[in-house]
Amino acid sequence: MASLSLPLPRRRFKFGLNDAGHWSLLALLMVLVVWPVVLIVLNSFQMARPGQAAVYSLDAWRQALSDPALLNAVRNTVTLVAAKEGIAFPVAILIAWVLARTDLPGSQWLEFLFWIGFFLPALPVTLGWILLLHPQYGLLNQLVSMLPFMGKSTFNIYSFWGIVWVHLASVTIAIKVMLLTPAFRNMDASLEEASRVAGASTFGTLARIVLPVMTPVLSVTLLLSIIYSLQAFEIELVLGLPIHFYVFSTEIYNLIHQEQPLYAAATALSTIILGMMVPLIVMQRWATGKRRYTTVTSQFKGHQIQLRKWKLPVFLLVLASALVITAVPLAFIVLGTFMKLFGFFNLADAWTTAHWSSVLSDPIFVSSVWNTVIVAGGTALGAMALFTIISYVVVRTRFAARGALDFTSWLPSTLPGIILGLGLLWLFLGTPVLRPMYGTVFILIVATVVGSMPLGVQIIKANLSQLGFELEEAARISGGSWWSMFRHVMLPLIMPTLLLVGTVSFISASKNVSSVALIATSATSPLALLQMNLMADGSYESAAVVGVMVVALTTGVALIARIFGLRVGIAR
Amino acid sequence: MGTISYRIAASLVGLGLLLATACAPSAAPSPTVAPPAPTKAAAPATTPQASAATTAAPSAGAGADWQAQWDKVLAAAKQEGTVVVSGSTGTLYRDAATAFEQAYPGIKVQFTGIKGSDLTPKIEAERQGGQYLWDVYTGGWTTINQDFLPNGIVDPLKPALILPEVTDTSKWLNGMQGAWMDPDGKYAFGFGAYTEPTIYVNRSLVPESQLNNHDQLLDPQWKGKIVSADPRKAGAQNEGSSWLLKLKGQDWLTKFYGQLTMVSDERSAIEALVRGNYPLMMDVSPPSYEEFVQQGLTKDVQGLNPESPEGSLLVSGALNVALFNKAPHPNAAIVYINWLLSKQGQDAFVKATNVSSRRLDAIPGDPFYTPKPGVQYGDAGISSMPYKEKAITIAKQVFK
Repeated sequence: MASLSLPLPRRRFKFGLNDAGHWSLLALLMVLVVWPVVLIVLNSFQMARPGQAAVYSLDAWRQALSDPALLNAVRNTVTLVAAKEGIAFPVAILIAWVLARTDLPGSQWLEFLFWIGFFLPALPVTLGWILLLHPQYGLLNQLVSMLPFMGKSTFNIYSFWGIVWVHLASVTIAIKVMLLTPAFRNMDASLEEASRVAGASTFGTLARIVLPVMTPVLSVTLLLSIIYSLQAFEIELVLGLPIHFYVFSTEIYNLIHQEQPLYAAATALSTIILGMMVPLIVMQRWATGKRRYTTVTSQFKGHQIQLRKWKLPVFLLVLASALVITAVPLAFIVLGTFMKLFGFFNLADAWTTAHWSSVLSDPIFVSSVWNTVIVAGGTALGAMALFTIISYVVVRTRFAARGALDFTSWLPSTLPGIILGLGLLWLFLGTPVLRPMYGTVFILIVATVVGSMPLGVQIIKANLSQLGFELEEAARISGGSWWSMFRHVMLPLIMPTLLLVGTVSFISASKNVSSVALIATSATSPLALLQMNLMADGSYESAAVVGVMVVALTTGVALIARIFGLRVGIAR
Repeated sequence: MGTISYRIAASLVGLGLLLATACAPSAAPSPTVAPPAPTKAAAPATTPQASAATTAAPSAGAGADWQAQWDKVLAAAKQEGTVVVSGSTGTLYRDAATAFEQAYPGIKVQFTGIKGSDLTPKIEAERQGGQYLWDVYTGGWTTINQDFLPNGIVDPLKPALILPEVTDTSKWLNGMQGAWMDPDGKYAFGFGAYTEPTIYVNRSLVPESQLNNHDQLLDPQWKGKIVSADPRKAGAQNEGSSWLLKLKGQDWLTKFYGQLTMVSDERSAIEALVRGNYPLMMDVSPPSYEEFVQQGLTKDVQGLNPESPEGSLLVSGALNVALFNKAPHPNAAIVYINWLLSKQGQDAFVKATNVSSRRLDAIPGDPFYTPKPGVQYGDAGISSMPYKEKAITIAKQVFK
């Protein structure tokens, strides 16, 4: 039986790399992550234009902090994050637990539907919900208004709760279900059995056994959600502007997207976010660092709870949630690609395939697809390899600076993508050794790997935390080398998680716009940038076509990964 | 448990590493990462300044001189083989720019659609790292004046104009001197000249009797009824509001802003207008409006008092050109710019964007945007620069 409170062992594992290897790994992260962050912070104090002598002052900070809208934006940000996470977190826990720990029919494919929800691009999803919930012409409002005693504008998407709803119905719940379900699946059923034998109910077991054991992955999931919430701006930009609802991320967005972008002020505000995140990260590490949360041991036992009479209602509820997150926005995105004008159903001849012809015959589209495949594929493979090494060193070794390594892996999440892209632009152009790589897809792969690092490392770390040390010990005692142990024992156990990380990294790289916008060239531009340019041009329909292609590409990869992952790892 | 699956995984990882190694160069034809060394063929005429020393005077009266100069530049440009152009986002600008390849098949256009706010830090960082990767800029003139000129990123354009049909001032609306969009009159050339109403009115909702001049816009009945793309940002809405600021003053504009409802972009504003959610709309750019025109959704929409001083502006919008200095393909840049400002180039841009060219012999654009003879339009050129900045400042104070 796994222990929940034994102190960490004082054993020292030989990693296969010596200390030089560990320090090299840390040095690599310092170059790719810390140095761009340092450049960003330094440049927030530097007011001179390039080519002129440096002039350091606090003007950018004064400008950023003296903005009268800032306090309002901070207040809005906090209330929005609290509302979103307050609803999404418990809902996601319940859904993930039901999918992973019960005999719910079709749970594998229901889980996959939530993955698709994560793949969908935010802006077209928002437009789809506007079509349904616009106070004047929303289809749902029109339907509801036909009912007796119902008003004309029952739902108003241009409101605080409208913004919350679109977040919940897009990524917020989906990503949590993605992260939590594998972790719940890896939990040893003997813990739950012992609880029920002792007389606890199913929900009592969930609350007093399962959730505490899941603390690392729950705390990481919540922290990542909060961090990504702080960076989200597309939904707030579209829905918040007409009602003067501004958040921190839209303030940064506005500073950058002016005729004379105020990057110094934007980096100053971003540094403030970084400062706010650091205590949360430290707290999370402290909260999970003192105890062990092993759930997968040599006596691992999987088990499904029988739902019995609750099977059908729970199935319908989870299915409905999954369809709201996936089918509804996807239907409208696909529909939009065949409309002459997105959302205008009442045109004389409203339907066309012209947008598809136009996009598919565009030579830029073909090169963008190829660039996306290379960048996303390179990111997935690089992420799987690099994040595994980082996670293993942090969780399974006694490397003296593993805390610094772990902390560094969090840093990219504390900065908006566009700011991170700016930091990488300065890094590659300012470093002679790296300069030849500017203008190649390699720099895009680096940017997207760095951007995926917080999520990927934490996913693998949480998984590794659940694995007992005795599994490694048994392999070593049997005479195997570290590499033999890793190949034959550890890798099969973490393979589903690695595939999840690879898939998530692939998808993130395919959708990533902000951190590649400044470093891509016309020759290396991926699909996401093409989509962004089409949206900026007002060509929503063509942008929807590109969006559908991105979803198709990422869904295909996820499907392959999922089918492959079902054959490895811990069987149900 | 997974031995076979592990082998497949290991094979995939190995394949991926090979792929990643092969990935180091870009997938598409390589971009120019470092400026290529000038070829010997390029030596005779490599820089606009050198061209200026030998080019014909702007009146282009000396026939043989300009021809010899042009031939040298063209030969050198074909050796260079590529011209790197930045322009506005959107396929229509790219289609217009790449029409150059049909006229000059030996020179490929590497076009990047990128916003000015993204282009500036990119170029500044590149130059700081010793990378000079761009030849020609097309886009708004504000970026040229506020970002490029103060940092010495552009060269004078005038010396690069060689073809007689380009330098013939009679071919341009209000002469060539009216087309320069920078204080010195030699860096930024506005080749577009089309009109935009400052305010659009849906006449099916608001008859002429109810609203027929701009002062009525401050009436309480219009509060919250005028939709606009974000007036705190540059764009067509800023051009309209800066002109109104110039004519009506700060107090008027402040009150006017209080009447507005903001949306995130022009497309959302136009949708709101044609759906009837808002009867009035601030200035928008023609490419955004055009799609709705083509679907017949704008037949009831007119400009408010279009022939009054406040009613319409003459703008160049995103149709301005400048020459980057230390261009990696200087001769190809000169050929491109001369093509762009020729009738052939202007016809290509009018065909793509459907707005009028400043060239008087170019094909006409949409009549809605074409300047009408005898009408005094508002000036959205370089003289409006201080008003544009001021209008944004006022908007930021109103929309906190």
